Amino acid sequence: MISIGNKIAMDEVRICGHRCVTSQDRLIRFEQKISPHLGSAYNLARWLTGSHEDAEDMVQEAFLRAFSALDNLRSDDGKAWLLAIVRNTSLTWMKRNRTTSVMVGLEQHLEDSAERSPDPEEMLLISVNREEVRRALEQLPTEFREAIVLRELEGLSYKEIAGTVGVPLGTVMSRLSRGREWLRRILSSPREGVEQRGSRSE
Amino acid sequence: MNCEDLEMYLCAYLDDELEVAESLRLEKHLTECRACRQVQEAQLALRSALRDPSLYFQPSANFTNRIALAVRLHAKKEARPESAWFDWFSDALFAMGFGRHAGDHDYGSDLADIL
Repeated sequence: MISIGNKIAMDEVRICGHRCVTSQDRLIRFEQKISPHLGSAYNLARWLTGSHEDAEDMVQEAFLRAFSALDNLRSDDGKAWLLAIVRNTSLTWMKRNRTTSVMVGLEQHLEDSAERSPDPEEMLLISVNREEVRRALEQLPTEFREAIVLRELEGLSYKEIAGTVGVPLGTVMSRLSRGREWLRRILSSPREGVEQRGSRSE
Repeated sequence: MNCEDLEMYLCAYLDDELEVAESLRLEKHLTECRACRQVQEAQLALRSALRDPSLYFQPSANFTNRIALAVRLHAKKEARPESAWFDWFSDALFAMGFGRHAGDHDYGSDLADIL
């Protein structure tokens, strides 16, 4: 015979579909589906905000939001779902604090340089110095930087990125393509103190 | 496929996100065009540079603990309104001889430990 307590719980499950019955159930589900992705959440927030402290604040806020909204997580893919919350939390905060305006100049510069016809030799001059790659990625406008972080650092598929960012698949493809092209150009552009023409003798 | 198309599709190709027919056309163009092979080479170099572990920001152990605690406190706060009557109800059931959550992990006492 079924106890009264279980009967109530089962009714709730039937009525609300995926709804977690008690906060304890929700905590268990949260620890299974969301908590393992804390590292990804922090990495994305850090790349978006550019600051350790801000990234920690964004992740904490995103985690609490994710906990409250856990019943909306329909699939097993907690990572892409959590990253969407981290992203929205971070971008809202950044808009409020106007931290994105510094990117405007660079975007124009990159658009201008993209119009030059590519020099095949220049393309090979990619710097793989870690610090330079980091700085180059930091310089990219937010929407291109986030696409590259989600793809290259987090290993999300185009479909998952589209879901996380909330744009069509074609937009993901073009942001990744342009973002990488810009990175390649930043890393290939002449650097101070480096001899240009004379050094390419091979 | 021409060089302009290649620039657009190369990343999707390298990401294994391009359809088979387009991948074949792209590969055919690569075998015929030296300049595009150099673009591919540069993109491969960029890709491996981006996958350097030093670019991945790791949270500190302290932060991981702080978040775990914050979530549990949040859970407790959210649970409070509904748990008051539920606790009363289940206490009553318990008093009447019905067991509650027999064999379940007791997260309530975990929370008590934290607080």
